Amino acid sequence: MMASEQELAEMERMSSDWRPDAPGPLVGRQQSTSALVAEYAQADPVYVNKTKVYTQNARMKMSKQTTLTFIRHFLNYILITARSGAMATVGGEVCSPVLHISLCATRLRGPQALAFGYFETLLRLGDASKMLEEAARFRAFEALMHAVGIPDLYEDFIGPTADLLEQQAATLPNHDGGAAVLAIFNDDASSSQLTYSFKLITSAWMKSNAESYAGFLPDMDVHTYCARNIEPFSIELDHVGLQALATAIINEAGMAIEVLYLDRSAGDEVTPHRLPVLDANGNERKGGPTIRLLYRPGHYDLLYKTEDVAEMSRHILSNPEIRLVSDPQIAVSSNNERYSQIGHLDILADIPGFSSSMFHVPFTPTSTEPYQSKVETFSSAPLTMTSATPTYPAYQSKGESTFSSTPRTKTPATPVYPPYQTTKVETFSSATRTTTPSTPLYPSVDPAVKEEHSPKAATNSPMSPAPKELPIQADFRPRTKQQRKYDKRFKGQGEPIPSDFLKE
Amino acid sequence: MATAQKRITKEYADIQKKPLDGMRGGVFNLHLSLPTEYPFKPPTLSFKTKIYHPNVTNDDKGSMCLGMLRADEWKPSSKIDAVLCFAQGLLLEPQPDDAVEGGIAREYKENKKEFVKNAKAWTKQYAKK
Repeated sequence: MMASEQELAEMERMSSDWRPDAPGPLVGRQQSTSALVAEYAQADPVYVNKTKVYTQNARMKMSKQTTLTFIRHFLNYILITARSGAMATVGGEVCSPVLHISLCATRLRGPQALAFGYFETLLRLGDASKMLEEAARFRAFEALMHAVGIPDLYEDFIGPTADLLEQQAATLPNHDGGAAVLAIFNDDASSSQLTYSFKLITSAWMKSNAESYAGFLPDMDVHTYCARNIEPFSIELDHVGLQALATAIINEAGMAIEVLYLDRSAGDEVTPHRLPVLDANGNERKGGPTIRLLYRPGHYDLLYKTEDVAEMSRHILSNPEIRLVSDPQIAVSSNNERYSQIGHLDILADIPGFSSSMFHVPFTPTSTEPYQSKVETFSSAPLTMTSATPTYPAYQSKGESTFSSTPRTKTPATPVYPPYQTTKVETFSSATRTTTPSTPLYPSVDPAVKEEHSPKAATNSPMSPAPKELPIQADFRPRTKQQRKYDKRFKGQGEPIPSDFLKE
Repeated sequence: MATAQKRITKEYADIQKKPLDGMRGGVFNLHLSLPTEYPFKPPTLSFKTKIYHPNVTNDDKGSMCLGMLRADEWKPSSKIDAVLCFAQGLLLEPQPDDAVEGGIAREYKENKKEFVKNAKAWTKQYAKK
């Protein structure tokens, strides 16, 4: 049956106007990884087994029984775009219209999750001078942008990221547990800018190290690759791009990346892929922080070890002025409502890991899960952030039907449920009371005292801030071959060498 | 918003330095619309003047959506002058394989002479100076 021109135009209008209901903040709250099991309970057995691995006994079988107990979802809605041509007749013959429908992630999971993880890790390390060092490193990319022939983009995209780093360094003594950064990442424009700054640096980095990447790109040169696969805003990074982003930004900050692939590959275990921090000899430098990404087809989330979360909450506990409390009642009711709205999303059934039946399973908050009691053992603060929150899969409310004429709804600048309510709580829970002294612990008190107040959090954490007696530069590594080349290049061009590079 | 405003102001100043020309005798009015999410979402470009072209819809919208303007190809690092140059380039060299007007595209490919004749007629009728 041939659609009439009018129907076709209507179809085109609907598809271009179609936007799923915003299913929550761009960057979600930390939740228990048991949510994953619930999400995938109805899915393919491959996924069922793999997700169970995360949470059964709260252990992952992958490497050295790493305990990954928390997950942070990144909003991942899918946009259906259609380009269509009106019907045309040539000499009485009807030409079929050109109609393309494509599935397209409108947000960049990979770079966004990494950018967020990067900021969060810096906050967790709690070292203001490290943050300023990072800010200087971002500022230094201006020279790199010039060198690869993309000047005057620095100011729009990368400068603001450096500004945010400096601003966070300045407010670090009054650490809010990352609430400000979370809010910034949940603002559409800021989030886009931050994410794109990471992409742009990746592109510039690849172009300036073309020979290192040329071997991975058999079909095209690095410039073409960057123009097609890195610079377009809504293109997700592929493996080469992710590697480049890691090298240019994340590893350089002393952070390793671990990507856990939850896909259809054989076996019951999740496949981890590590992008480690390397020293000058190419050996892995261990002991630094790791950002863990959970990859599902077309989707990235962040995963956390219990200690990481405890570390973060220790900062929060140490600052009685800011208390992060979410109202479990509000969260529960709003989520139930959301679940009731989920309709058929058959188109998603084509995507690995999704099955349309998944969308009809009402989710019951699993208060009996083992992770609950586990969390309780370290402090009460993370509990208020996570435990009572029913888990909602990131894709839960993409709209009632694939082609509904739901008017385009813009993602609200303020998250639907504020991830953290920075309400000052008058009545502390008993656990909180014991861990919160009447005066601010942080930063006036030295690390030893802090540890005394939340012993579990501190002793378990391999990522506690460096002891006071260590100079900041202790973290500074010898220049890699690539960096030395980079240094040389700018010296040769008479460019001012960023102060960051002179510390050696 | 601040990002968008700053960018637009800067780019507008750039455009004024490079006026478009060489439209083969016709004057085609373009409508450029920037979304609030600019530069993270692409601008939309449409012809206000009717034009006989495989890549521009033959209706009152005169819309075009291809190449760098498509949502999945848009680079926030692209500038408005590049967008306008792209449109100008499209006038000089249509992309019949990515057409929205199938009939015109076919004519362009199979009967160039007829296409040129029609295009000239339309330019004379709608895009006179």
